Amino acid sequence: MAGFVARRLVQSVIVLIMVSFIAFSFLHLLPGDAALVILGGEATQEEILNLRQELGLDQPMWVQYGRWFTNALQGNLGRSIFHRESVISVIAKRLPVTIYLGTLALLLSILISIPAGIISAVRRGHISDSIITVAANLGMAIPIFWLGILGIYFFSLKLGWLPVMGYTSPLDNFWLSTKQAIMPVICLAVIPLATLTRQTRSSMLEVIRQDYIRTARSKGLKEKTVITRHALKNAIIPVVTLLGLQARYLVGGSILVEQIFNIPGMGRLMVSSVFDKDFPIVQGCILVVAIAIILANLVIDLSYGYLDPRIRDD
Amino acid sequence: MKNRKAGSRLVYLGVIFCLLVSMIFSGCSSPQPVTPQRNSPVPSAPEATPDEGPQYGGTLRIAKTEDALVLGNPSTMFRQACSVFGAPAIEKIVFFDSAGNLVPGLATGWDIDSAANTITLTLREGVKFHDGTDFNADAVKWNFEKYLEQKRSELLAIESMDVTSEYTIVLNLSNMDNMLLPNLANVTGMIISPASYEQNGAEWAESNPVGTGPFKFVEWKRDERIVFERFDGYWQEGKPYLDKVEFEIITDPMVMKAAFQRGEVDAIIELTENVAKELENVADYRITKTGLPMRLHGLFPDSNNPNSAYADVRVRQAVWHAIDRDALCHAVGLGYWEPLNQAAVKDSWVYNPKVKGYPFDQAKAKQLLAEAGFADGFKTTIYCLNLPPLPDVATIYQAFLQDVGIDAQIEIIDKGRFDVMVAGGGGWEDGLTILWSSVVPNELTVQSRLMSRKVSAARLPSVYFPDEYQDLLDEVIFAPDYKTMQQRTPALMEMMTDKYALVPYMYATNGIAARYDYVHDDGLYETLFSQWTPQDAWIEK
Amino acid sequence: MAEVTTTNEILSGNAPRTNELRRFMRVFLGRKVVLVGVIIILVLIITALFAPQIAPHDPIKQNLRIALQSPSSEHLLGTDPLGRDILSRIIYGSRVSLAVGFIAVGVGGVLGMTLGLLAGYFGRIVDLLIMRFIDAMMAIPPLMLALVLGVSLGGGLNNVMIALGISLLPTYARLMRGQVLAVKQADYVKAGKVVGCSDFRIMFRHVFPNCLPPLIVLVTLNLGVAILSEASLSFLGLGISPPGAAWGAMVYDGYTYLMTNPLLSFAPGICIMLVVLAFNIVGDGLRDVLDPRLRGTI
Repeated sequence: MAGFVARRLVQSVIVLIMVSFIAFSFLHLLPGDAALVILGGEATQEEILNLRQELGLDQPMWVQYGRWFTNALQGNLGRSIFHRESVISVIAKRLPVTIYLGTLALLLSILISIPAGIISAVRRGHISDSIITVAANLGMAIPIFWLGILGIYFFSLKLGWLPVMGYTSPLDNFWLSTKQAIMPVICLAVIPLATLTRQTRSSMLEVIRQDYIRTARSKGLKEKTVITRHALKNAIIPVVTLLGLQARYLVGGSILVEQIFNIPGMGRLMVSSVFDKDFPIVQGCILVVAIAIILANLVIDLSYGYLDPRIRDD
Repeated sequence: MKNRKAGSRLVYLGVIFCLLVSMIFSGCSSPQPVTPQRNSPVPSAPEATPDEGPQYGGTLRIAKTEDALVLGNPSTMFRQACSVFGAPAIEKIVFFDSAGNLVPGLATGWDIDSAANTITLTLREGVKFHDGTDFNADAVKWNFEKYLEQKRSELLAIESMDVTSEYTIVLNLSNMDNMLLPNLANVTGMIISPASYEQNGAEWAESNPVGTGPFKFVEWKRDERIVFERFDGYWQEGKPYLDKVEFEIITDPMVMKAAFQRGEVDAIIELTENVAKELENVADYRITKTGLPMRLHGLFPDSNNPNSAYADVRVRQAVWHAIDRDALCHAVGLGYWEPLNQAAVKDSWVYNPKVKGYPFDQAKAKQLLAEAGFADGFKTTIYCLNLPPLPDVATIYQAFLQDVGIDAQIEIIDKGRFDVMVAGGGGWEDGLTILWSSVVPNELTVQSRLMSRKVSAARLPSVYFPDEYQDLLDEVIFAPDYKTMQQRTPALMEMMTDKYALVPYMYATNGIAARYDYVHDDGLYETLFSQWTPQDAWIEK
Repeated sequence: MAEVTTTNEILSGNAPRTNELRRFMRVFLGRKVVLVGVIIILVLIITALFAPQIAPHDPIKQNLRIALQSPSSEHLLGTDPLGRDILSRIIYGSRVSLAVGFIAVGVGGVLGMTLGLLAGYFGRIVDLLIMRFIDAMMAIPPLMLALVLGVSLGGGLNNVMIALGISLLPTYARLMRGQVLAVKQADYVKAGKVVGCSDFRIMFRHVFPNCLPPLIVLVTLNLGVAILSEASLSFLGLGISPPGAAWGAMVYDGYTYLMTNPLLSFAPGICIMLVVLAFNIVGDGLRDVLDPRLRGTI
């Protein structure tokens, strides 16, 4: 087991280095530089050259990367060009917001999707199954930003129930924070909700057909007991795997949702930094997100390795 | 067979859903009569004078789509737009009134001696910075030195400075620069406390504005909000009226509008034209647009490239003739834009009424193209920044150019590439670039910043600016006095437009702001976008 | 954006034998909802192919005098801010949506499967490097990857399609590698080696047929993902150059008029939803049919 864990950790580190390299090579392609963006269209040549020198943007790209990499090894992700503070402290302000909303969205989607998936599988062919399946399919087909803006239109402007936008820490003002979080969390939850519902339904369907379930039924056990005790335990495993993957989509969704609801999280930081050519921030964001995703997968892999010895030898 | 039933139910549900959806939007879109759009610029609704005078207290919350880059260290503040954010805390040497004239700010008077090449500023007495230190000529000198350290072109004419008394400073210039004084009403006229800067460093100063303004800086959360609170030691007695001023940064213009409509903010600035149009007729709101134009938009040809069709003056003239600027200002500007026939708006003193220009005349355009050897037209590209509503504008240009045989492809480019092409000396080939520049405070700044070799050596390498024009431009910008400048300007406008058609200028935009009518005397977007009056603003309860 | 299915799910599929084609069609089209999906996709393809014949107006021709009109008999869905016919733009937009889907999936599929094949075939260090590279790409959220890449490449529809394709690549690489490894172990391959067949020949003869069913499912589902992602990227500021019409860009452009002319963003938005829904349903249908464990029971 220890060997397996060690191997996995080493792999993760290699993957992280690859991530930073991929991110770097993409950024290398980005046209323009931050000096121009900072100065805007009305700057003179001299002003641009000055600033470029000041920011170290006149160095060759590989020098910039080398410097970044050695610093990153020491836990220093560099300084943001726009925010004029260290990348770590910029991200440290944004990350909790995204994690908070993302966690709520994930919880919401688990709480709804698993019961929904079970109902839909157990009552296959019934109207409830149809509604759930159609809803899950629609959830995967609707453009999220559009859903968000419709939400603002109906719930904030027409009905006046919810604030249009913003984020407040739940520690500062719990009630306002919750009201502000409702729409973004729902928008974020849509895709995980749909994905998990479908996965629960299909793995449940698969398990229900297995012989041991038939056996359990024929033994005269109550249907409820069969489903909750026997079927769910086995059906849930693929759903858990899928849960690890949701981190990717939650971050992807946060890019859109934070933009719409004006939430100061990682997603919005990412988008503005990409367009502002704030390389250190983009690098830092990609790295931090990758670490989070790799960790999530690592935990799931390890728990699998623990559960199923065969995987360790793979 | 059970499954079949499930399948047909799904279909049924799908149909129901589609019906519901179609009901939703048929409900939303009540047929609207097509009303002819107003041509005249929308007059800002006159502010209703309340019965009583200004009331004290309250917070003014202002939303804007883009955050400041630099808040407190104006020498590293390059965008005029940033000074809107700093304005509550940092005052300028002089200000503009709504006609673009200079009015006293931290300087109560100024004396221009063109024979001696000096400008003498008389400064206001009894003014204190937020950190308790005194505002005086030494502070001004220190601030100007910071600008000069950054080689800011606005003030480069200053060779040396003499502090002749506690409140008098003499600027000795290398040559007379008539833009210098107006530049003291822009970013480069912002004065911060030298003591706070020296104590905490440049970086701290960038995000901590310490000036003489009516409000003290409280906090700046990037991409979220900037907060200021009342400064009790403000030099204008009895002011300010408000307890707090807050800027909310709301990236998406539609969301910003929604937040305003729901009362989450009191005012929104830099609205898009269609949002302004939508808010215009609501009784609770007051919409203003800047009295001076904000930006001039033109189509910049790669005329410096000898192989380019635009190297021929007749082609540039044809482009100008081909586009119906009135229709454009109707369709996208929604009445908020002014069509141009030269690089100045009609009300400006820079405007030369004798310039013939190129009225919309596609037959003439075709004839000019034929004369230039392009009877069958040619292929070209329109480079357009990805910033609404510019793509729509580009699409309209494209259609008009198509009418006269010019087959244009639109290339949408992002900020990074645009900056390289335009500001970074990269240039472009075989095409027209949609480019604008800010008017601060008059249209000559547009020409001096974009086209003068003396001000900026390598700007716009793709665009042809003949020596004759360059010489005349420098003569105007560096005229020994204001009067000479004004006398030489008409000839410059005529040469630029009628003789060379250097850049087909299309329209001028104004900054637009909206606020609830309980907000008074804020001055936001009434003169220039960079000017407002936080000390006079008050909220009616 | 949304990956509709896990790799595991897809990997479990197997090829139907040809003599089962009839049964396949019966089971596949037997579900009405799948039939509806197929019909929507067929309508989309026909619309895209015959757009010039179907569209009532020129989708690019503007007429500023009739800007932002409500639906009428002349303009069934009204006109946009430049006076262009919305219905015609939607009809032409179907071409772009199909192109986005197919080109993005094509780019992702070809690149991903090549990488997967190389990794699985050569094994050892090649496998290690390629698969860690794929892992690294999997660790970056697809939309983030597409955004950074799209901006890096300079925007425009072509670059957006390439960026989306690359963001879809990892799944294909994993799928391919898994199949290669599985086939490598198979007895007939070992037997083939003994007889002296070339490795590549064996690979191509056996790997592709085995990959086909899960590949078909994945491609179908990814078509929807790509179409949806185009809309998201348009919202973030990357997309087609005007005056071209793409649904995603239309939703975004129209959304500034949501309160006054909701049809501008609703009409293309519903098209996106229907088409993505159709691809998802058909993809699911295919998986149900191609998955032996569920075959015939639906």
